[in-house]
Amino acid sequence: MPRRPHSSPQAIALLSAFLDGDSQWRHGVSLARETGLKPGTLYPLLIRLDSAGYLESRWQPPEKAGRPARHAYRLTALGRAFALERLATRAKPGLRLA
Amino acid sequence: MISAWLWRVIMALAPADKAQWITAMRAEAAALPQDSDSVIWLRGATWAALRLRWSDTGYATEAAALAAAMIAVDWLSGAALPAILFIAITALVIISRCRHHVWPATVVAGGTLPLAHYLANLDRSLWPYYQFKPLDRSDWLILALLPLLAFAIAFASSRLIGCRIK
Repeated sequence: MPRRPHSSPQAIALLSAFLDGDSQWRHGVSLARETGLKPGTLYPLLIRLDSAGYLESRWQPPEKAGRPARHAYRLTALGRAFALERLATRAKPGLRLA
Repeated sequence: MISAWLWRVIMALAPADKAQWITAMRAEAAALPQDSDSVIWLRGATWAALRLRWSDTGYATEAAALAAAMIAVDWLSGAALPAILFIAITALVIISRCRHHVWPATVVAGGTLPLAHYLANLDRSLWPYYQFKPLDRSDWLILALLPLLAFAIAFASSRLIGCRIK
């Protein structure tokens, strides 16, 4: 059976966090906290979603002086449709073998 | 001070076109309330940079290593079965990365041995070691079939793991 891209539990958790965020720009720290993903797992996922056109990103000016600008992310319309489709597929009950 | 130096090393590890993602991780680490948490981000950035570097150059390294191994196996054994097995393995391994898809996998898996044989025949001093006679029509037929075999394997495996065909 063909492997479905972005269907790992980690990707689903991330897509779900974005959907819960309701189109708000999200930062890595809050996404890591919400999904429980470690930064080394979270960012490769973000990069893949971004490359696929499911995410848009922008640099936000620092909240406090002396702090670096932060990179923020949110789902594109395509990403939102994809996330909804993935979560709907995930929610369907699986086949029983017995 | 050490942390700033480490971040620079991590930035150098990542491919240039993905460096902004490491910068983003550094900015997140700087935004954390506790310094102890920044170690997790430092470690995560190292891991991410290595993964990005591998996905950037790993394909070419892997393909080159497989092509070299294929020639070595062919040189040492000279039999058709190990060569065909190796072509199959190469096509499967390359396509399993799901990046450059079928055509590069076909070129490496199916093209390496025909090219190696062709080049070996150009240099007569290699004949006793690699190619015992000039290629005849049946040899060329076999060598022409190898890319087809590689393509079939790459195509089938790409369908199996859900890669888009390019």
